[in-house]
Amino acid sequence: MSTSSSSSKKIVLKSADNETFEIDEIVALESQAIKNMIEDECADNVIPLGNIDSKTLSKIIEYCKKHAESPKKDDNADIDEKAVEDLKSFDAEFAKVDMPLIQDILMAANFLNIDNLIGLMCRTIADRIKGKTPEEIRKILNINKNDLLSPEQEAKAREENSWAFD
Amino acid sequence: MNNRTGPNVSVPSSVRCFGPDQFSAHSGFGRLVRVLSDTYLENLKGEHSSVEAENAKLSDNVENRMKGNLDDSIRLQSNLEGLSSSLVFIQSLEIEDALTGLEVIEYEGNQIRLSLRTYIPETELPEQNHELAIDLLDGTLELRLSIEYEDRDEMIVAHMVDGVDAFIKIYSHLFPPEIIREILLKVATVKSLLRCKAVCKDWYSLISDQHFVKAHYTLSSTNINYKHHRLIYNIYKDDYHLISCPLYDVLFDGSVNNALLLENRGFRIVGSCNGLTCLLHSDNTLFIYNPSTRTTNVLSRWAGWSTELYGFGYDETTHDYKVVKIYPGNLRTPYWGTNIYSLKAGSWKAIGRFPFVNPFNDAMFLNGALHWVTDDARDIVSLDLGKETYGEVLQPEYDEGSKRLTLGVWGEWLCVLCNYCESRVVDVWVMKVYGEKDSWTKLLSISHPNDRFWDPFCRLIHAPLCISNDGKLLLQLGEKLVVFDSINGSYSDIQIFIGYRSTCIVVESLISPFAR
Repeated sequence: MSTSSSSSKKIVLKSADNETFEIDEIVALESQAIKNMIEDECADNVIPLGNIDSKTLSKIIEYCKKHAESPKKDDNADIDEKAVEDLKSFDAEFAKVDMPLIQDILMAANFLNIDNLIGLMCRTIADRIKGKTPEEIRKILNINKNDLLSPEQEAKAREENSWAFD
Repeated sequence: MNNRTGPNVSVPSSVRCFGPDQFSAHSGFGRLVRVLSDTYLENLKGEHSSVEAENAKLSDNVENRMKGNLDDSIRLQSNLEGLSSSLVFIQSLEIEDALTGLEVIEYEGNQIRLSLRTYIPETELPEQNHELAIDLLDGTLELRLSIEYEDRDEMIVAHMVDGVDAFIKIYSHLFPPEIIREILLKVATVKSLLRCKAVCKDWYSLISDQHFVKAHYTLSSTNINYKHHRLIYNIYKDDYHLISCPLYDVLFDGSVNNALLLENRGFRIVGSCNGLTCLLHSDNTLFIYNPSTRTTNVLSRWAGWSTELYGFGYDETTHDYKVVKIYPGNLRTPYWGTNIYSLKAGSWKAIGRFPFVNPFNDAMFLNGALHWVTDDARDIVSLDLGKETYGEVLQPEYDEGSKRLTLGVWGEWLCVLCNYCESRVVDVWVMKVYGEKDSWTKLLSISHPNDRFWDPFCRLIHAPLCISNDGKLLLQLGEKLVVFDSINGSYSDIQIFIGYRSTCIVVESLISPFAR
């Protein structure tokens, strides 16, 4: 996966389905959780991620690589406009995946504490439910019917703001 | 299968039948009868053979059908085998399933997502909604089963025989509350959030929660593109109209095309704060109104004077909204009286008199206090809504000459438009640190544009409404709404409002106009 010089330190991540991913440490540091582990020296060479499958993990690594390579805002005052645009369009492309994967990525990003990625996934979900009816939203997010309001409560919620449901 | 019982032979209609005693009565007649019966027999034989042919055809059919059935049942058998091996596959994941209600959610490229309902024993909830995603990757079949359980969040991975991994991902409402909150804050528009309230119990309580409402307001009010700010204005054109339109359109497109009619009753906009507006109806009824959620709180009436002035704001010390009314005194005392309405108490009370003689317009709310300016342009009066006491705001050194002041609030700045009636110039002043006289800064001077809306006697009301991050000023100049670009000094007229009465800027919010 890695393209950087071989001298940089490597970290190996292991997915729930036992696939291993060798990445540059700088990429792994995008995750605040991994960063803490490394700083506290409680990370072995291989970091097992028992709750993240390989498909999700490879997406996350793709994201972290791109963001680790991009210049940080606080690094340089006159940050390259093009780099910002480039990162923006990368993010937009990155988010073009189906809802289950978005949810998986979001859960994993939350676990790994990758702020930007959490934000991106939340925004993606928000964009997909914006303007939708409650029924459509339930379907999109696969919301358990046991969590719904009672019919009376729901009728009241609709009644209170009936104009919003037109 | 075939209900036919056999050929039904009928006597040809040309043959008439006679009784046997009639045959011997006459030999010639008897011959005729014989000929006739021969013909009849011939007919019968013919009929019989055609029936036989039909029978043969039928039995062929039956045979074919039986063969077809056999094929079908062989196919069914193999289907069944396929199904039972699927069942074995599912059972190998230790789920005893009865699959019902299969539905395709999404079909895209080489992936299909199905939703199905499954009976799972040994859980409290006998029926679960599942999602089955099938990915075709380079010809290999990857099965991903996502199953909802309550109170569990682990993932089960099953390694299948031919190198296929099956994941069982448990995700019912899997997001922790802080993530749901993050998503809903990003939904942002009030209309969508009101819909989201009806989605499920958790969302309803989250969106109703005061902390959420507050966080949402803060985010909306600090959006740098003014995406959640609206210009509310009141205009009389054939009829009264209370109109809301996106501030973004006004500032950056110079248009009020996406305007929305909120009410067609006559209102004066008294003031706005935290996404709420205070409106005064022509019959002296006061309303606290949230134009984003369209909820209205009608305040108790107070029979009063026609020249009352008002103010509306929020007292953070008591978390209470307050409406203040000042009204002229009588012959013995020239000072104006003050009444204050607390939304929490739901009632009016009188406080000390207004300290100066000639207040001029409805108050502006900033920093926990209401602000009026006197019409001799001498004083800016403040009323602390927590302490309910009056004070004075020190002003900048204006130029000499007859002038009229109007107040505005731009973010955290108190703003004064100083209109020099004779020199036809308007100076825009802002107080950058509240309460500090030295922080008053003159942002710019605007020369009066030469048109009929400018009055040399300072009768028209000019008000500062908004200043954008890129230096665009939205001003009410008499009956006109203009955007003044402070960078290049150019005007653009937004719209001429004949019968234009009052206006304010409101941030979209979920804040209730009722006391909590």
